[in-house]
Amino acid sequence: MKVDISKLNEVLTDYALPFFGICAWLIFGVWVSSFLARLLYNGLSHRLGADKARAVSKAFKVLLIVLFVFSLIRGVGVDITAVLGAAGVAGVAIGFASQTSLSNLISGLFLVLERPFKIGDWIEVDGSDGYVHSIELLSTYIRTFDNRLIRVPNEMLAKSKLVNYTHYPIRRLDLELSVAYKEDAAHVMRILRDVVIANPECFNEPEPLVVFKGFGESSMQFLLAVWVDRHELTATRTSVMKDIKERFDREGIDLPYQRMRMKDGTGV
Amino acid sequence: MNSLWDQHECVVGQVYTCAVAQLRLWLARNSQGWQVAARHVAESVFEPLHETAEEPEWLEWQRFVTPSASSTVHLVPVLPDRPVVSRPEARIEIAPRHKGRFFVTIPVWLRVQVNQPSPVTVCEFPTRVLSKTWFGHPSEPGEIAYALTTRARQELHELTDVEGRAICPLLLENDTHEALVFAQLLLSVRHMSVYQAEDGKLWTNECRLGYTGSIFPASLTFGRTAPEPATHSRLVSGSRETPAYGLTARVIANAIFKPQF
Repeated sequence: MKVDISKLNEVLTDYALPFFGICAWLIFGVWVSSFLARLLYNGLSHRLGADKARAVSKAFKVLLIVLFVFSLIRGVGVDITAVLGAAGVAGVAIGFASQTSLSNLISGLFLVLERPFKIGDWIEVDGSDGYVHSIELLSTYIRTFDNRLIRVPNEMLAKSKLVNYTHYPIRRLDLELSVAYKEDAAHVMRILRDVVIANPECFNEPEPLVVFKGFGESSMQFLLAVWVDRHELTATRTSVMKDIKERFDREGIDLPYQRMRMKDGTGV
Repeated sequence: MNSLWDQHECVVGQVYTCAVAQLRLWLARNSQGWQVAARHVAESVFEPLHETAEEPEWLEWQRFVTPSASSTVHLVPVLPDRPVVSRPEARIEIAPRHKGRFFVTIPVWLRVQVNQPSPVTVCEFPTRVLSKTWFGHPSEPGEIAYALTTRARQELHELTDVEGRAICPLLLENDTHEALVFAQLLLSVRHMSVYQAEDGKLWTNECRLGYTGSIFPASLTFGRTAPEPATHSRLVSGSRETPAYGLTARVIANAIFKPQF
């Protein structure tokens, strides 16, 4: 189906609609759509959450822009059914050409509905981890801890193994420790328990775990597992490690380290 | 009357200090507001605000800009900023269709407040360092709270050594045909106020918990005024939040017994 250009010219001439008038209408349409979408986002963000509200408002904005375009086409007297027919043919062609984008778009919709993470969560995907900066229609942006922005296509997020480190309010902090064989294992375990009980950031419940994991090549292996507030994970790790070192030093407990003994050919 | 929680007139340039349990506080007034420094130590001491010439080198002052008309500072006892999980030292069981009254003491926080022209909170500090705990299952909704061990006294005369603590009268009603084990309890202290009785002791509103079985929400009600044992008391600090009865009752009901995990 073809648009009758001569008729279009005739309509334009008849109604004296200047070219910049069409542009102004389009700009106005985009501005109104953005404004209404922002209002919708503000209204929904408290109820649905920022990511869902953003997706809905963006879809609403796109719909409004399409309606503005159609109203413009009708306004200039072009047969809308002809345009829709042409759009259908073009849509098939564009669809073939943009399969990846469509896949990302659909994955993005599923992500918004499934909600495996939300904006601000600490996630890891495909070897990259950081905070979710934004969830867009085609991709999700992650801000790494060293302040880089990573764009991850939504299709990859839907397909890959994804770890959300901040889904639960509390996390278990696991610390593995090696202690020299000459030390009393029961005494070491008692000290580790005392250290975490004395640290106010370590939760009383769920109870901390002190496990004698096994015999290493040159040391006894212990696991200390304590539950902490997810926001305090790094700070608590540092304070617990510092407390353990100070207490071990005070008690004279030896933390072994690897030594390398070199011999030359003469046996020296 | 305990002068610890009174108002104090402060001179510009002079440093003041006080000790409340494990908290050591330093205060100084300047022309545009206040400087405050705080530190927690292991030893528990109580000293009202007084002038000091000593100013430890390690003090890290924080500056607060407040209305310049305020030359007096008010040290106000307030309840902690998070809920408190209270666990009795010994196992307590309440017989079926029976009720028990307990007194649980909660370490207060110290709020530095200026009252002129209107009350303004300068800062708040815990007077005792409390460990954190999780109330609920790790992978289910729960709440981060402060952990507290209580003797759960049942007699008023047993309430000694309560300086720096607010006494919470707790009425546990067991409306079931089974014994209720008081293993641990989440106290939503943000919904409670602090009152000071004639003898200087601090009290909270009475908290009444009706238990009707593990599958039903426990009903929770807070007294609207000072509890009965706090004679001639006055309100010293209001609740941080207006009690939301439905929400609080559900939280408490879900975890009245110690969860197993």
